Amino acid sequence: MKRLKVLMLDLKSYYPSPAYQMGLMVAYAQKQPEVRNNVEFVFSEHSREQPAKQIAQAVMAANADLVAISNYAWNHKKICDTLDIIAASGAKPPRILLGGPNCSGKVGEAMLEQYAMVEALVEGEGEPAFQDICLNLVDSPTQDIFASARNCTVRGEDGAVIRADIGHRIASLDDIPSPYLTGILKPNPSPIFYETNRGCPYRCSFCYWGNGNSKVYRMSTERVKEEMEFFAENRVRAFWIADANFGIFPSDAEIAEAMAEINARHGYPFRSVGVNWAKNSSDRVLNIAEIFRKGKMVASTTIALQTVTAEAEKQSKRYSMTPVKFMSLLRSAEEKDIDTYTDIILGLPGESLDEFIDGLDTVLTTGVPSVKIHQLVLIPGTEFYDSKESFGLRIIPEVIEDDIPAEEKSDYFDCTVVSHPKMTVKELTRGRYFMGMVHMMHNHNLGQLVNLYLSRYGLTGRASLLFLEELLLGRPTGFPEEQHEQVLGELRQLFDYYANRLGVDDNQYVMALSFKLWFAQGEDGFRTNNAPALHAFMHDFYQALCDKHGCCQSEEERKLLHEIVAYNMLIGPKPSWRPEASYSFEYDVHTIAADLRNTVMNVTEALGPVKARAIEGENTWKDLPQLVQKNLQNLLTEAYLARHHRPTELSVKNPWGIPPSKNNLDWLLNSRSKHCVVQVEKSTQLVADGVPA
Amino acid sequence: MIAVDNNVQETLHGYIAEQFLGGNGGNLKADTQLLANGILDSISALQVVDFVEEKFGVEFAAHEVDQDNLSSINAISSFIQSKQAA
Repeated sequence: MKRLKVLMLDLKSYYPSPAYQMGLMVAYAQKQPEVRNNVEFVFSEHSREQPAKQIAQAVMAANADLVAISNYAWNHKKICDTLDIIAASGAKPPRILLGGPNCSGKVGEAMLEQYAMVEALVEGEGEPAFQDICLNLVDSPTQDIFASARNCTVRGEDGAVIRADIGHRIASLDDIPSPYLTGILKPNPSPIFYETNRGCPYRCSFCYWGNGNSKVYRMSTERVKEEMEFFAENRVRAFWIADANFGIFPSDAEIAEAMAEINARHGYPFRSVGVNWAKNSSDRVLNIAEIFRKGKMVASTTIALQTVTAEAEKQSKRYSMTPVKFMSLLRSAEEKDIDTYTDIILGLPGESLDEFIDGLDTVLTTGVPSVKIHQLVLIPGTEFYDSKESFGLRIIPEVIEDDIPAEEKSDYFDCTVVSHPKMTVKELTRGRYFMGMVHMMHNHNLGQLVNLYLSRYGLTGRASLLFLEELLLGRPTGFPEEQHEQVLGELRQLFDYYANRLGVDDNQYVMALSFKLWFAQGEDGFRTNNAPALHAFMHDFYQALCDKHGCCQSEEERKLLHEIVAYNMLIGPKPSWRPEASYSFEYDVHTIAADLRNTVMNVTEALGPVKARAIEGENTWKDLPQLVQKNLQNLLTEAYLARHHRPTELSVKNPWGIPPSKNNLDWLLNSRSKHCVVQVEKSTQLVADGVPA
Repeated sequence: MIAVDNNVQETLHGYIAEQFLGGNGGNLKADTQLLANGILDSISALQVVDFVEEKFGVEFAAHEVDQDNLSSINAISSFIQSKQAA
């Protein structure tokens, strides 16, 4: 019998990683000898940049008996474009099977309706369906191979959608052979996607994961160890653990221990582990992160929030932890030297722009090293997607013309929310300015410490963000624009381009901003380091901010402000920046910075009354900025500052040598460990009139 | 001190110019800063590591994939020769 050919079409996101999910499906199908002996599986993998025309040509040239495609929110548009080109070519189209999260509900049905060549969809787990389909293909290649398959949705004779046998789950992930150990996939390039459990017990309105998969099934630790040995032998450098909630089981710590032990035994090939941590992060999550760190693997940790606005929490069915718990976890992470970040969603129903900005101010006050802001995306199969109209959610195609260049267009263009009853399109666009400004000021740490210091004058991080917004929009601010034409001009241009253009990819927005902040264009066509120009800009920025608010006006106050700004700029993350031998300050800014940070980290004690109210179910986040500010004002007394007026010499080390890829935001997830490290070389106590003791 | 191996440098120059500068290596010198000047990033640096390991038969230990060894063609070349001499 002639071997049948099945094309596994993998349209990738940003990562060039092996097609893990498809590898699992092939491995499971090949458990059947009939499939193993009679079907050839050919992987056709395409980067995000590859045009649909080339992909369509590859599909047609393969002349396969079946084409299987994984359909996600990020590649849905590319799949549609590819199928449109195939349909328009007039050639006989292949038989196409679609699987993946974007096959659920209305989106899947629309694909069946729109494309005759799409003969079936897989809803839920792909492996049982794909095995059945492959067996049917071997048995009768020209007949209906889908109708009797598990988890398969097909078109009936009258065109109606038939879901005959949905909901099958694989109870032990060990039943799926390893696509790596069986040689189906090569263990490169990194990061390797990997799954130790499947399913999610939560039902957040914006997320697909828990929909129909609420029971979590696991892979045995022994199986994980076996594959990790293989990865270590093959010098895999980076992983992305694709579990929805790694750390949800106590045995996940055993997996981390096993990875650390294997890594040590093989000379530490594993460098980083990306993880979707268990929601409502616990001490167990931090303990696991610490195991990874001790095993020399970078593993940043989400301390998940999404929003701190009560009504948005309610509508999302996603209740954030209390500030007491959040700060406690943050402190614990710092003690364990673990990178942390949090996610905030822009455009959640129930939250106005003012509430969003208040929430940002609150979250920034905690001192969490990084804040990643995402615009709300409607994913098929979620409550927000299914009830879009009742939530009053509007998406990009309903509001603007599609005029975004393909290379800059968001993969989520067709499903990104741009307004709801409490937030207009114009307000959401302003929210996109805050997305960039938080990235610039907080994630790049151009002013985290300065903002804490300015509490002395009653200013908060919100004041600096609002001032930056005025500046970017060209409103009068008192900032000496003529001295910073290049930096300011480029920032204005970038914010105007990305923030105002709905539908531009958010990763490109923030990474373009990162590169603009780090690098300038040199005369030889290569980049140069932008640190000097940016430092000068930030000094004048904070002075102008203080001038506007009529504070920090004496010569001594200005001197201290500029030293705090200079110190803040020294410690901020700057890839491939080389420090000078030493830096001199008139104040002991290193100690002041540590005291500011410690005051914030230990604010939990002041949250006692808040804690009591939290137990009664009241949202208590809104009190946090005032509490932090009060504690900082108690610290920054005249006597305290006088005590720290002493010449200090600092040396600086930059741990971040290799800049991140332009398309990769991973640096943001571990920005704390990317910060420059400061050491005090000499600090002299002044006793009187500036005379050293 | 390890003598500069022109063949190694030429091979590295050709690879980096072809892979990361669209074949336009006119301004690429042996001491051009590959990381600070934006020619290599975290992903392309690993491609260079893979290329060097395969082409020159040397192995980077985890801690050796860093700024010191990848900052320029000179630095990569020195790393290769120190490994080959070991």
